[in-house]
Amino acid sequence: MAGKWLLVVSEGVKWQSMLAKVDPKTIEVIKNLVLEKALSEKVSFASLRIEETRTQYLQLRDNDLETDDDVCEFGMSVSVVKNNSFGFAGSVFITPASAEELIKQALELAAISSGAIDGNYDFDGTSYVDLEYSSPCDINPFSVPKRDKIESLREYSSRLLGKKSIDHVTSSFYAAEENKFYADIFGTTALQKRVRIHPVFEAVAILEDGGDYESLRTNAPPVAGGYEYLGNKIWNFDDEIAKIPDLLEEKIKSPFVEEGNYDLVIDPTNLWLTIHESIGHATELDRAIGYEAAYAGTSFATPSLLGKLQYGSNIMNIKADRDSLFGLASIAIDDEGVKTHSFDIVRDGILVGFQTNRSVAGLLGAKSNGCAYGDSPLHVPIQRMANVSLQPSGSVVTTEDLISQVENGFYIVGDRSWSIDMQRYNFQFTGQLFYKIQSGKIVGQVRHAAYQKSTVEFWNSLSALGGDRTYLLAGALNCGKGQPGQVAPVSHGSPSALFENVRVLKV
Amino acid sequence: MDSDQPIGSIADEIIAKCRQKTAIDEAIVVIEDVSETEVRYANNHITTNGIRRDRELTLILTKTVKNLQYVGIQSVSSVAGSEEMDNFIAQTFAALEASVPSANNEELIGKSLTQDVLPINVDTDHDLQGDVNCYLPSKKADPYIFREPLAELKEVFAGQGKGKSLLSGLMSYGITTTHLATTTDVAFTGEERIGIFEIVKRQANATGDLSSSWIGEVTRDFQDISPYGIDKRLSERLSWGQKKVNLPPGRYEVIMPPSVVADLMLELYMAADGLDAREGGTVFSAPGGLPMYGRRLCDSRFSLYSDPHDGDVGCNDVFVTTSNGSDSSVFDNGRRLEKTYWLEEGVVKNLRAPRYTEHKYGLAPAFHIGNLLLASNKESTSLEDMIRQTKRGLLITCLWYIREVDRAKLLLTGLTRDGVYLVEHGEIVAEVNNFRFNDSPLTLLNNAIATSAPSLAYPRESGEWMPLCKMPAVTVAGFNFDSVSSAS
Repeated sequence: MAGKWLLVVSEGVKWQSMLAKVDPKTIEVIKNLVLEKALSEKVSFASLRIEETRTQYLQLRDNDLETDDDVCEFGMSVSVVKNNSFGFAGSVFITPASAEELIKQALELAAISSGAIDGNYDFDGTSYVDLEYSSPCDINPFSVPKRDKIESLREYSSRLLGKKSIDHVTSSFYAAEENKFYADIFGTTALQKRVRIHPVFEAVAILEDGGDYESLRTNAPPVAGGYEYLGNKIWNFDDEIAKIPDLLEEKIKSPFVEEGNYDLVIDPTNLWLTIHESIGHATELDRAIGYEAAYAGTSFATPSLLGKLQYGSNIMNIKADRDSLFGLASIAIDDEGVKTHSFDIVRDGILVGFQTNRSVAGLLGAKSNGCAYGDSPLHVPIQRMANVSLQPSGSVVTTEDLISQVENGFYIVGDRSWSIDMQRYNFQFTGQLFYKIQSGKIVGQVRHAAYQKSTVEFWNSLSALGGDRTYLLAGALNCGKGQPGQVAPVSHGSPSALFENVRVLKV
Repeated sequence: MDSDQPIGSIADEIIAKCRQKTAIDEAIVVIEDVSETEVRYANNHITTNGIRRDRELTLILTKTVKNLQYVGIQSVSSVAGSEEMDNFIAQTFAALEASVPSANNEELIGKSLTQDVLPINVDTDHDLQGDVNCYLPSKKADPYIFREPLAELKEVFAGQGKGKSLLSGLMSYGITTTHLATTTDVAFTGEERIGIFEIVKRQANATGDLSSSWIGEVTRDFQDISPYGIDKRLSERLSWGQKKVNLPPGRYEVIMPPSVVADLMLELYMAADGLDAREGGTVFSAPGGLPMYGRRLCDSRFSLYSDPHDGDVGCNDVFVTTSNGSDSSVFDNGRRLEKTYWLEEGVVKNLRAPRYTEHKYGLAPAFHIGNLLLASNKESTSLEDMIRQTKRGLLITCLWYIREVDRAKLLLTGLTRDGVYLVEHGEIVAEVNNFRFNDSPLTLLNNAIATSAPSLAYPRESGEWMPLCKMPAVTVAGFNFDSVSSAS
């Protein structure tokens, strides 16, 4: 293992990685110390995670630098399962002495939890030795001088400032580099690196002398990728920003929406979030069996409905993966040492799968499908979301084709406000833009609109899908779950899609 | 560096090294030590647990060049040894050199921290617990604190019957020690200890319908936590679900317990951002691009405020931040926090705003404080009496997934959760379906029919961010439940 540790430092990064400062031999000592102690205690499972995550957040308000955060978090943790009881301890102090304390604390916590768990753990003993993974990244965002990033934000923002109807412009840049070392008693050792980035530009119009407000922001999603994303090869920022002034001008002159039931063509820039809330979270097995009953909530989709629930219409196919290109949840092995892969959640409209980790997979008599994630070395890995995506039509269907099928409805672009109940039934979403469709054509925008429906009714009203040319992998950096709260990055792919008879309300 | 090295010593060493440099105006060190432990349970079993030692060490450097102020900020989890500390300091100096002029402090040029901030002698540190000392190792949370409540909880689990009732929840305890030091001799150490205890109880009633109820409490030491007592209260509520009725959406008279009021008031507090109000299009904006200081926002019965010295929900009384933002500036580190009214008898008194906005935009400086309280100047009653006085209304337990829909009106959406009950002629007569609401916290403040005396209130949605709240229960007329939720 010696020498590999230096991989945690990105090439060209001037930041002096604290983890890289730790002698690789010391890491080896820590690994051996933790795992040998765990084995001597006859545990069913033990793992060690050592991680370093650097994050940078820049925000400009009307081109003035408002926020400039640069944080490097690191630490290590030990998880154990002994006598079907779990114990976890973590610390920012990466020393053999600290490791000794952590294994002792983890075993003590397992002892006070003794006999507590149903014994559903999936421990198959599979190991992956010296596994390495890196998400796609041509230009590490931390290798780019901060001044260049700020200049880039200013340059884009300047294209909006001063334009008619635009009173203020906010721009922001988020980047993270996550480096993980993982080892467990089955013999797995892995070093994995993920880089993610999210630039955002938002134009604001103040109306009625300060009494009202409209805004429009870019729909460029966060991605697992490098600084090259801020160019125009992956996402056309030039084009999107150029359209904002006219779209916002049109938006603020638009009438309020007339409430009613309508057919909706939903763009993937909006539908990803509906997928996230109504499918992604609803098919997390830990939620479905009540492990999140006190916090994130449970799910209407319970294991007894597997293979039976008509989740959606028969054109609905949902796949989960942790290996899609640019996917925010993509990684080689999860935080319990399980190799990731793709799997079906909904096939031809029927619920056929759940997302699982080792602690719950046994309930289905299955193996974990690799969805364990802790957002920091100091947090317990829990079952978190894979990239959960709606599959496109196999035919060549454009968004315009879908719009042409609508007599009276809306085409919704971009996400905004979102909310769903504790069992993932009743949801409400707004958007960046609600275009009115009449007789198959877009005839303008409306304001203050939201759509609301119950999950299964909504997905059963899915009547047409766009083809793969309409497909987009969008996502979020801030998916919350667990106590203490954890935040996970996750992507969701979707084509444009047509839904019938959905309630639209004025908000 | 080991975990027991006192944070005061670490800060002193960094400050001493920074003093040897001449290229800066100020150096500010903030160290936050967090020691936490928790036990999480579901379906009458312990599921996960944890103990952790976290630290964030932030160095902030400022310098003035040609009337422009530059700031370099770097944060790390810790530094191990003298060499790493030197590297960390060097990196922050490099960040300062690479920085661009900061927008939010140009009016403070020439006003160093010592000119505007009273130095705080470390001997008189704010001390909630009576023995905080930055030159001793930071205190550690010990899972031992759970020994009695956990033993009792396991007995409560055992008493639920096989799968008849399912208990889920969390007990957590954390000690946060915060230390601020500067090259201008500002120093502060504060310690906060907060425990959370939550249980959701779910059970099927006689007809097979699932009912659930929730109680969440804040504690400093778990001495006041009784799992038996909480389980008994939950069982009483679940007994109300023996009869279930479905009600349609609409505007209802709603009895909101303190947790609900806390979540809605926190949304109002978060909207009380001076710079945003100045930009316009918030509920705190006035015509002409000014915040509505001195204007009435709601009924004069209510005052919304924060008070670091409150006897029940006291918190650190010195402002400490490691980040610049719309409502915070690192140049305000060390400011004393006093009781601050956001609304006084319905009138807007303060909005969160850094000091520099006073010179630049005419905003009155006011800083984030770690608690929130709502008081009514009208005669209060008890929650039980509020129920007795209700002819027909809904008693709700808590709210969930609250999101802003329209910033200009502070229109929010969200849902009821874990227990909605129909009150008729002063009595709880049935459990009701859950609802989605689309309404504003201002409806609560403008349509109040009755209030209770304020009490500790753990907000279900925002409790992890702001657990220290003191709120009354409020009966609100005409609250808009927009649609029905099938969740149970």
